[in-house]
Amino acid sequence: MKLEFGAETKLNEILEKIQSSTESRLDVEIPQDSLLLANSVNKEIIKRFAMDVGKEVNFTSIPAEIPISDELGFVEGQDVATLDSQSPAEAPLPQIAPQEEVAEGKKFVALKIPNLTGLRKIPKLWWATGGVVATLVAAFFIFAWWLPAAEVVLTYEGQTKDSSSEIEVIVGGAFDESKKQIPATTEELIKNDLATAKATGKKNVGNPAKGRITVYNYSESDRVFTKGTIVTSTKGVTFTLDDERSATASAGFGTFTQVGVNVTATKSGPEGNLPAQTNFTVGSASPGEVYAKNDTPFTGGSIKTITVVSEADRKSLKTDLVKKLTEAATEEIRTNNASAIIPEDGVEISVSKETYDAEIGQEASEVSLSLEVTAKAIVLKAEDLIAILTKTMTIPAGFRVSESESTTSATLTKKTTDSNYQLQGKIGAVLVPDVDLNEVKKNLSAKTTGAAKSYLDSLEGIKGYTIKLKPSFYSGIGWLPFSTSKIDVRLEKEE
Amino acid sequence: MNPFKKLLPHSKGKSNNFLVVEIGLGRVTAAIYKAGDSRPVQVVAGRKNFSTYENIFEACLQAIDALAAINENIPRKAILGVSDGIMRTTTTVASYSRPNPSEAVDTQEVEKVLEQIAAATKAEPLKVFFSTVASAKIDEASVTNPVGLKGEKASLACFVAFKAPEELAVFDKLIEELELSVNKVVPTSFAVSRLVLKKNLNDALLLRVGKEKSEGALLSEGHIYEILPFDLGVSGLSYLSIGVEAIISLLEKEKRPQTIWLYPDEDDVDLKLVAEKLSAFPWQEKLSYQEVPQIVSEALESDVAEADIGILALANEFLEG
Repeated sequence: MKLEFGAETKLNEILEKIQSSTESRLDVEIPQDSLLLANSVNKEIIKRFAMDVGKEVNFTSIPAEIPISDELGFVEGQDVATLDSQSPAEAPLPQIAPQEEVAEGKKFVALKIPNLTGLRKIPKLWWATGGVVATLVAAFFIFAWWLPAAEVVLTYEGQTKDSSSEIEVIVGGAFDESKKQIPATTEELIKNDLATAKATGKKNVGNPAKGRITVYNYSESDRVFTKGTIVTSTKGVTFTLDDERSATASAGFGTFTQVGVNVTATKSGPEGNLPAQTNFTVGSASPGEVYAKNDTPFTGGSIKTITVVSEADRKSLKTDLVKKLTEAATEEIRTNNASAIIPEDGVEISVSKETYDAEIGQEASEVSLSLEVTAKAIVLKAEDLIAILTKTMTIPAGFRVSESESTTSATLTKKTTDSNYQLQGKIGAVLVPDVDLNEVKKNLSAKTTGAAKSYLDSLEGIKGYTIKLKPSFYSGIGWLPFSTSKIDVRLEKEE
Repeated sequence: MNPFKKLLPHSKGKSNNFLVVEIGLGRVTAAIYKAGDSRPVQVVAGRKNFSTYENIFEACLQAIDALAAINENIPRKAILGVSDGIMRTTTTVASYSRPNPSEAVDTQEVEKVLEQIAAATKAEPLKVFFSTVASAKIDEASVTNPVGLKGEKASLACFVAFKAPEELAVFDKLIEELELSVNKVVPTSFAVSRLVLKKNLNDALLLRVGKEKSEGALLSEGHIYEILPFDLGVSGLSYLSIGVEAIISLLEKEKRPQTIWLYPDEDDVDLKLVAEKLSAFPWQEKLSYQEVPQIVSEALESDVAEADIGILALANEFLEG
């Protein structure tokens, strides 16, 4: 059984065909110019796959491939300088997009010269008569056809009309004037950029003061001071006990027991660096029963304000960069589709990659963002939009909308589904006379100026006209040229 | 008039930036790089997908156009990386006795050997576009670069890459059109192999997986052996393992790689699916493996997108000259 494939057939399609074939012996035919078999790994894949599915393949009409693995005759250990040149790949390769240079002008043929000796037998008088006739014909041709020319300028009153309408846009849809429905395509573009901004967030960082106090127990009961118990200096600075300690009951009035314990300020800052001999209350105990005092000054309390990356910094950086990339993407899409219309708000931006070099709260003087956005634009044909909008206005008889001079705009107002949109279309229509200038030329050729004027008077939308004949003496003759190519007709808006 | 001239104004200030243009299996990437502390740093990149190899010229222009839209100063200094198409590569071990063993190998000696190998290795109608010493042995000491070493017995593994003249003409046209100063045209898989060899992965199959195509680079005994593109990608996932089988079967059984390292041609190629498919392949039955080879799909560089490994490797090549 023969399986025939085109030059563009993909390898997995060939494998699928082989698998689905009911025959066990297959002739695989691929065109000589297929790039696929220029690479013999592909051929090896076909053979191995066929074997796996219990089939045998035979290639026909394929180019001889480049061998995929050899040492080209070189042998490790052998001096290469003694080897001859080698040619491992003799087979011609298929060409990539060959450019044919066949021009008609390059074809040569042998010319046959006719025998003209019979002409000598024609009498001289006949030659003279023929010459005069030919001269007269040529003179008439020059006078009536070649020499005269006419310039006809048709003037009209410029008119403009504005109109707008809701229009439905369907991506991949069809044009339907009755439903005010136009088709659209989408175009995607990826843009990326890197931006850096100063970090503005502030954060206080520092260390709490530390020291050691002695707790005095004047009460006649045992006291336990748990870890974390708050001790407060006379100036209101608070500390917590680093460890649990207990003090036995005092022996009686005027006596006390004492215990030493380390403390740490509850807040960072230098206010915790208290001098020696500062008194403290301990937890909720009455100072008459329990109090504390430090024998040495507290130290280590410090604080400073650092600059960090804030959430607002990253948000602002992203907003600015998204805006920049959006503008660049929109501009590029507009440039790529100069003759088409991309509605306002018709470019949808999604962020596909976003990488910051610093986390929120991280100390840094600046933060950088690498951003990639995908812009997806709705692209409309200007003529579709004009065709719908033109139907929403009344156009005076004899006029039409000039597509090249009119201005259109569209704003996307609603996304109904992924492929359906509503838009508000607007047109500033420039109206021009609906005349076919070629038809006018035909109707003017070989006419008298009187007949030409009557015809031009009958044209709707034309307010005035001038007819200029060249050379000027033809004005006296009063005929327009026979040849339409010698009549120049143009429209001009009345100033 | 060259429409790209306005996009490529001549840079007035001195800049160490350079351009990397990489023609992948399904897309062209144009990126500006600069030298970094430990490796090249990407400044900005532009990309353009292409459907057939015939469209690469337009795709290259559009990728650079996209780049120019972001960064007006496109560097002239550039490196061009190529994949796929009609390409053939070969590594030839050139062994010889050095006439003056007491003198160190210099670049002229290496170039002379490369010239001899390139001249002797004919693959008509393909043309040589890249040749280099992939690894070397001087008196049995293995090195990546023999320059500066003394010894008598030299064996240089010379890697030579060929391409169809039509494709090389397209590259020339591109370089001329963009007025680039290209220091070399390198097979991307070769550049990636140099990165991988630095990680001491001496015997491996590097498999670049695209949507429609893939490209394998066989590493054997510490140097690249051959680059082999084929026309199966994730769109024909169920057949991909046959492509791998076809490539590995080229090596003798004892030299077959125990590691298959995957990297994507584009961001949306799902390597996990590819790894699953290859893990399920009957390695023992088809290729006489004792154990399933290690299939790695993790990024080679942790903070570089997997699909950007090719351009990073090319940027590295540029800086290493």
